[in-house]
Amino acid sequence: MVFSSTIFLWVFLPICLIGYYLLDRKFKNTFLLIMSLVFYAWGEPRFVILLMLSIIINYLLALFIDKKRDNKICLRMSMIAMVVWNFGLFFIFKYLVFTMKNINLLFRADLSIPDIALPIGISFFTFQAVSYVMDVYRKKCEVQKNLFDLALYIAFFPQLVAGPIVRYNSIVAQLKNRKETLDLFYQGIKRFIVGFAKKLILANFFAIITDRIFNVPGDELTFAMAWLGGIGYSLQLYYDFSGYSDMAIGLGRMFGFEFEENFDYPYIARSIREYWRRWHISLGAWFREYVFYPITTSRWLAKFNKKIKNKFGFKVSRKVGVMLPLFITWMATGIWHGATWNYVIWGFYFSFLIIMENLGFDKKLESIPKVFQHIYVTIIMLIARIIVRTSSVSEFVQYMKAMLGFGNGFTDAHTNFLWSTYIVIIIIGIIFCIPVAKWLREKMESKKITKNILFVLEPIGYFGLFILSLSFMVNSSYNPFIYFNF
Amino acid sequence: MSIKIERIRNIISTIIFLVIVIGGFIMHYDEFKLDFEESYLDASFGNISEINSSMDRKIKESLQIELKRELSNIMGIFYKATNVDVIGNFEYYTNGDYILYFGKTLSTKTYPDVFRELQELKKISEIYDIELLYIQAPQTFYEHIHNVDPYVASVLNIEPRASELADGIEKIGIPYVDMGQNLDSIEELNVTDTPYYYRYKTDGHPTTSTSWWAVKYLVEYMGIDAQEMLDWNSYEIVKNAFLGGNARNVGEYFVELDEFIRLYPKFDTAFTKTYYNSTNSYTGTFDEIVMSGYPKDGDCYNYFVTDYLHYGADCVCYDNLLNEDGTNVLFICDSFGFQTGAYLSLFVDKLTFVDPRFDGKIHNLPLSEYDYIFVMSRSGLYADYVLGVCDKEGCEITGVEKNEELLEVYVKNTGEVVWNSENLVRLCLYIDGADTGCRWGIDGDINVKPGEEYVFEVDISEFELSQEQSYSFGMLQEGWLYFDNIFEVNDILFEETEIIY
Repeated sequence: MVFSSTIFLWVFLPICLIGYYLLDRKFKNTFLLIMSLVFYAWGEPRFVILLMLSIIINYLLALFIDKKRDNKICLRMSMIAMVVWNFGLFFIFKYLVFTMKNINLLFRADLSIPDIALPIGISFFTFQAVSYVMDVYRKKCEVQKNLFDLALYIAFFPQLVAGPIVRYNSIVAQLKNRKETLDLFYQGIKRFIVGFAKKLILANFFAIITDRIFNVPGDELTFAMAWLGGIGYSLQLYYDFSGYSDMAIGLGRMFGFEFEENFDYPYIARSIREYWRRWHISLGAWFREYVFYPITTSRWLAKFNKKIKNKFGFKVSRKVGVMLPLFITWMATGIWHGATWNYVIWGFYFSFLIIMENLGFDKKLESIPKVFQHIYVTIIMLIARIIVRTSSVSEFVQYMKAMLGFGNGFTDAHTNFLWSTYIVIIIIGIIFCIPVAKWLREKMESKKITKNILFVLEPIGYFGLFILSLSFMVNSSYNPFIYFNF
Repeated sequence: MSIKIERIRNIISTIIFLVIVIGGFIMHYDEFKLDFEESYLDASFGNISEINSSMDRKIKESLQIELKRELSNIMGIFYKATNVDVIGNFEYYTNGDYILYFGKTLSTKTYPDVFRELQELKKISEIYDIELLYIQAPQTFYEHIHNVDPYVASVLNIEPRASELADGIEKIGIPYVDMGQNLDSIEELNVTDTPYYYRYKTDGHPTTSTSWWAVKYLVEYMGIDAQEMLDWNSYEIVKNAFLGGNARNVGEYFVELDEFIRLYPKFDTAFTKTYYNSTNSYTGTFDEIVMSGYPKDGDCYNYFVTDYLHYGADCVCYDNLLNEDGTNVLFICDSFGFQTGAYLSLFVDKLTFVDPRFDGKIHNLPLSEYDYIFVMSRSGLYADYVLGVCDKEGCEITGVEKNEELLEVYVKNTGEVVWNSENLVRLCLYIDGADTGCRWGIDGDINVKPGEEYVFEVDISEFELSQEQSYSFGMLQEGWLYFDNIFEVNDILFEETEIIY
């Protein structure tokens, strides 16, 4: 089910809200769990069983880990089982077809390719389940004895299919003890409306531009059109995904939950590292906590580093100690996004950039004027977008040629038509992806008179935006979120 | 601001939100219940996403018309404010005082094909002494009249296409009239000042006035003396506000409303309507028979511009019972000629109306009976449907074989354009000659080039097959045309056992 659809807004959400607030406290979580399974089943009925199986197995594994904490072999075996189950599932549904196709290609084999559909949200709910078991293993939280509460953590509908990836230790307290307040509900409404508008008004507009331009044959792309496509896709991805996260956070608040932020104006970043601290924050945090840190503190890396140190000296070993975990983490991040070579290249691309910044390039970057730092990040991200948006290497090369001015000239009638049609929307998109509204709000809140004006205008503005978004929803066709594919 | 006031504001805001959300649920409870009971509970798991989108569509359709209108207007204001002309799959180009629509310019046919087919049609018409007239309907716009964006002009490329068609037809020797050349003669409309007005601002179709102007032309062309009937004083004129299909999503503030005129004869009329391939016939007045294509939806916002004849019906014959000595006309057109055809039926004895986009069998019509064949098209935008008149195929179904539970349908591309999933060339199942709506597309990235064969693997197990019905396959280009090659498969389906599924 898609948040920005009539079924969600006018059927699912009202049933959820009415049921939730009418029920006694002890039934609330169970009710939310049932509704979450209905939410998932609405689009993917076959995979509800998979989701439930995943919940039960991780629940049992965590109980076993907690019970056999003193038995190291049991602990190790259960962690292996956890990895095999979760990532095995992940591999089968997400990467098996890709792997087999490439085996066929590389070894001229004739493996028959199974027809495997990707369960929506598998990348998200698997990571949440792993987070829980890992946190129990590391004693960061107590084991959850109530299966329904754990199931709600993994399957709670706002974050089930496209995040944010909520880490267990950040939400465990809220599962049992949360307080629904009017203020929190109002905050939730505001946040939901912002996300709703981001998706329906802006993201869908940018989708039209992007689809159109990326469908133009490579040799017909002009310089100005290629740039418009790159900018359009960057904005589409931002508004689509951050819009979903806003709606998820808003819905969470309506039910008394406080999720962590997932976006913090990524396009104002002045380095790639900063960018990733602002974009899909929950994914970055997950990889940092469950991939990067375990690798950096692992024995095998220490041993490996020792060998390097003995052979090449301390400086080199220190660099390798940073580079290797970063490389593994960013390759994993790339592959997490999708089973295509584009994402493998994407992983290499960001591994290289992040390693470079860690090895001192960030210092050099800081020494140049801020405007150039922004240009650097913008160009790097535009290229990254094109890597994943184009369908082949030759298409990517042709697109980049056009962006560099070696395409079908500077502009043509089609390009002029697109630019003149979308220029206002592009400007709106750019303005709202930098913290202009936040800055304006802070300014207004600093003076009493403007603060009072803001107080009155705020709900009017939000509901105006909501009505405008509704007008888009009613007139639009089915339009799923991009991150449903991940 | 005190906490108390802030609390009051939050309460009011929360109530408004809940009213919108829960109010929406209450308003659409019936649709939800209906769909859930009728579809969801009976559906196999694989159908859930279809039900999902069907429910979404039903909820949208069920919105109160006034609410939808206001929401559309709000969206329209946003479009207007941001100067955006492109909406979803359809594209709009606005230049201050008019709005255009253009769709895909897909066609599996090329002009040389058209000319070959028209040559054959001309030969047939000469054999049977039929007067053939090719009518080029007014284009959506003319470069010499409108200030058109160069890109839009290049996409539509209308005038060069129209000229190419005109030149070709002239060479063949078929009488040809370009109605667009005579726009100045629409006296009722000051076309110079309001160049868009020969068609609706909110829809690509010609207005009633324009259609009437075409009727006048054709009546005079046939030499029928009917001055009294051509006078609008002989009709009751009903005017309604109208928002055409191309603009309904953006509301009236964006494009303004059109005026939709209906003419109801004050004089006596009596018609019999017969659908092609059917023995059923209906008798009644002009209002009842010809102008009852769609139910009315109040006085305002009737979405159907083609409220004449029966849009989507393949072939219908209107027999004017009060004009038994009149002429017999075969009128071949797309939606552009609907109103023209409807009013023209008042002046003739019989008018057989054919929309070739919906019928691949019209070559079976008894051509010897017609006095006139009028072919009316608008070549700039549409696929060259006129090919449906003749027997030249774009495809050939070369065979159908049973393969366990599946049927393998072998199809050869005998046209000149590549088929693929993108240009919507699909296989269609007919039951008793009627399109079931059941389609099979060409897989993924496969391109079926001219001369190449493609095999559709077809599972029709969901149909309860009966030997009393006739099953056949045909090809079509979705939304544009049916290929004229239907392959009956009853022999294959019921070959050995009574029912194979």
